[in-house]
Amino acid sequence: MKKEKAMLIDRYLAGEAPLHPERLVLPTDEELNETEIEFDQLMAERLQNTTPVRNARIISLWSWAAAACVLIIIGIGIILLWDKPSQPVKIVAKQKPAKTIVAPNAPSGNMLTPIEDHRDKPMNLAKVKQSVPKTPSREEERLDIPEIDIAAEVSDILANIDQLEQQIIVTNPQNNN
Amino acid sequence: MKAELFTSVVSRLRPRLLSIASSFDTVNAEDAVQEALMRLWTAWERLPEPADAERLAVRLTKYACITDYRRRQKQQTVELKDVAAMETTDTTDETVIQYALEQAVAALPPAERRLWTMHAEARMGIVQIAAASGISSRSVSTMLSSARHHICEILKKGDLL
Repeated sequence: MKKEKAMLIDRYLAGEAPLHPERLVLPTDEELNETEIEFDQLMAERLQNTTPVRNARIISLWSWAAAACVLIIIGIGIILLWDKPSQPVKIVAKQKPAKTIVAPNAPSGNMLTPIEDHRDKPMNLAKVKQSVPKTPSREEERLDIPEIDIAAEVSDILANIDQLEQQIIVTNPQNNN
Repeated sequence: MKAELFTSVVSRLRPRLLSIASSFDTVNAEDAVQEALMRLWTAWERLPEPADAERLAVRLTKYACITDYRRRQKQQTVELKDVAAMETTDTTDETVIQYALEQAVAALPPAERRLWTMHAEARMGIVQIAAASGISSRSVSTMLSSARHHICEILKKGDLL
């Protein structure tokens, strides 16, 4: 018994006794034609079924791309707005209005001493440079510094000076002479 | 046609057949091509021209794809034959051995199984198997001996050897 079994197995292992000889039988022309038609039909059906899926995939890809573009544009816009340098702020040192000084030897407390007029004197450039404020740093720029109207300030000062001059003239008419 | 011509024709034809089978079923494409080339080999001597062989190979590949597809469709609806039931109804030595060999071959790795099937079922030589599988002759002989070894081991475990 065992010998017979061993012989069968040996024949199979040697390739002399195939398990499925029907697998090697050539199909007839009719069978081949039939399967060829079925193959082509199935392939056509699959192609039809897969086409819309492909389109949907492409559309979804496009929508993703569009969304990504919008996000990128928004991001760039935010960065540009955030880093945009603020317009240079005009900072002018406030000049204190000329003080009215009461002369110590004046007959009455209301008497005022004349104030020197420096407008005709040559300017000391070194002092002017020191008085000019430095260009504001980036951090200073970000601070909320209110703008100062220089023209108004200067005109106020000049008006004050004129007033003082007139007062002096009124109080000490002999000086004018 | 001469057997020597098989290797050159099949080597040239194999990529085309594989692409046809892959377009139908990517997973089982290699099996379909192997099936088609086994049948082509059996009919080789009767074929007059290489062009006829090419035409037949394409048709056989499509045939293999469809028969495999039908078999799978059937498997989904019909339950597989119970092994125990088969053993009680038909217990001749030949059927038991055949069943054991089928199981042993099915347990082989896919590449080894394909080469072994070409050798054991279609009686193809190493050169023809190499041409049909796209593997070098040396690798084919190594894989065949490995497959033989695996089958013998499985049969020994089943107390058949």
